[in-house]
Amino acid sequence: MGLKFGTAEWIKVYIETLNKNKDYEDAAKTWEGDFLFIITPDGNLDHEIRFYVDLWHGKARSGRAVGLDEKLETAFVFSGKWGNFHKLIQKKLDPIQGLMQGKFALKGDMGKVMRAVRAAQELVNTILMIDTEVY
Amino acid sequence: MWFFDSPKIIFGEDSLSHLEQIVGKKCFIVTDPGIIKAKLLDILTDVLKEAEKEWKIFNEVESDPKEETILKGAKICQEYEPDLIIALGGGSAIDAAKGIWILYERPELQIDDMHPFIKLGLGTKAKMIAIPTTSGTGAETTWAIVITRISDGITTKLEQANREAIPTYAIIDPIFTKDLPPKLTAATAFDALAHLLEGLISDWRNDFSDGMSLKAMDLIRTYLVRAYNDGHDMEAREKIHNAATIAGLAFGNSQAIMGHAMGHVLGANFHIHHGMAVGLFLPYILQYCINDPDKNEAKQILSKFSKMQGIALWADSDDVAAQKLVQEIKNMQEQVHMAKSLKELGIKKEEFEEKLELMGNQCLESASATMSPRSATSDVFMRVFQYAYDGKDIDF
Repeated sequence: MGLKFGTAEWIKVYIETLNKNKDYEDAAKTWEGDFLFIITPDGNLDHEIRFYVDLWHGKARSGRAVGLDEKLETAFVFSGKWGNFHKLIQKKLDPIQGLMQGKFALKGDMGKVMRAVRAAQELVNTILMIDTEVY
Repeated sequence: MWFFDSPKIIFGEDSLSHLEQIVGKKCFIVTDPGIIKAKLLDILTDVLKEAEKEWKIFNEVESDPKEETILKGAKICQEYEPDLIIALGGGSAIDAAKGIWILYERPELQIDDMHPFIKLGLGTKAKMIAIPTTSGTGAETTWAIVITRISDGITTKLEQANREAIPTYAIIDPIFTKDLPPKLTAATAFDALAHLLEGLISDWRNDFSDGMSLKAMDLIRTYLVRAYNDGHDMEAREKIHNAATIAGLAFGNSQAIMGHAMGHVLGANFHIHHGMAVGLFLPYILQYCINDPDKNEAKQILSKFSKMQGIALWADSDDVAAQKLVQEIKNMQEQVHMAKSLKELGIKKEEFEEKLELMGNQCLESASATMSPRSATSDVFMRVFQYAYDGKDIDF
């Protein structure tokens, strides 16, 4: 039985897995910026999921679940419906194509993100390394 | 869900005369000094005069245009307030004009704002017309804007892009290419060849872009050597000019892969012509994708393509057919005297090795690096660079 996507346990394992991912470390070696991920209810997901990851020079310095009433300022906010996130973590949807199709929204320095597309892909690839239970 | 974007394309002999039909009085021409020297600007202004249009010329675009050049051009353009922005030249002039167009319409934006996720709302002040004078870049059809930034002594080619930055019109008139020197004819055609083949195996490939790759390859194989050997063979010139635009539509709608990442990085560090760079890397990056130990995807696509082009036999295995395609590219490189290694290009070994690690890292910052069917780390990019330096087949 896998870990439920977006739970505190899942985030803990995600951070550990990311920190062992050499391809991510290579691709994100100059990256500086924290992310808030927001997954809105859709399909079998009946509640909003929010989690925070602090990414710095190829490593995740920290990560945790974020409450709905918590005010958090981050460099980037990546959001979308669960159905689209589900496709993303199945690699049926490319993160950049998803943004261009309007399936996801991203707030933050877009120019910086465009120079880190490979790192973004490795963030997704890392999810595939975890035994994840979906909604 | 995906999209297929294209400018309105006017092509063939005398297509320049269509300018008369395009609404707009004041034209802002973005070009470079070489175009004026070659008297190609005169061909354009004669038609504009005939059409009773007014124009102002910005002729300061350099090869691999710097962001300062685009900002300067945008300021002059804003003062002139044109109805039409006309890019006349190769990829540099066209990319510069795209940047100028965006900043004319949206003066509050910065170069870094030219990314795929912003709604620009272009076309309210001016339409853009791209008139390529070389047959290769495909910039007249694409949403890419390659801009050179020099910061802290490091030169980077920014790969900015927005689907709205596709020119409104592309005029593909072979008259502008008849005096293109053989070396440039070859280099630019190899840029087109890289576009169609990289686009063919890109992660974003699709049925529409695939069709474009097929036709562009057929035209290049049939007409490149003719255009190279006799620049005034206007049938060959016209077909190669069309092929470049069709290849532009192919990769513009699917995206280039690691060869373009490497080409941009090499160009930024050693000032190598873009077409020469991506054309040189083409066999190496295809071999790297064919050799993928985890999946046969690229090999199968290239094999089928090779068979459809008549390069391989239908009875050939995927391995053989894909290798025959790589060999065909090498043969074409020889026919038009393209360099096949970085050593042949005259890059000094010491300087190459000094910059190798930086180049490997810079490749990872390129969006094109992520579209390859076989991914590559900075170490892989460094190895491919090294093999390309020595002219060795990729065996990993």
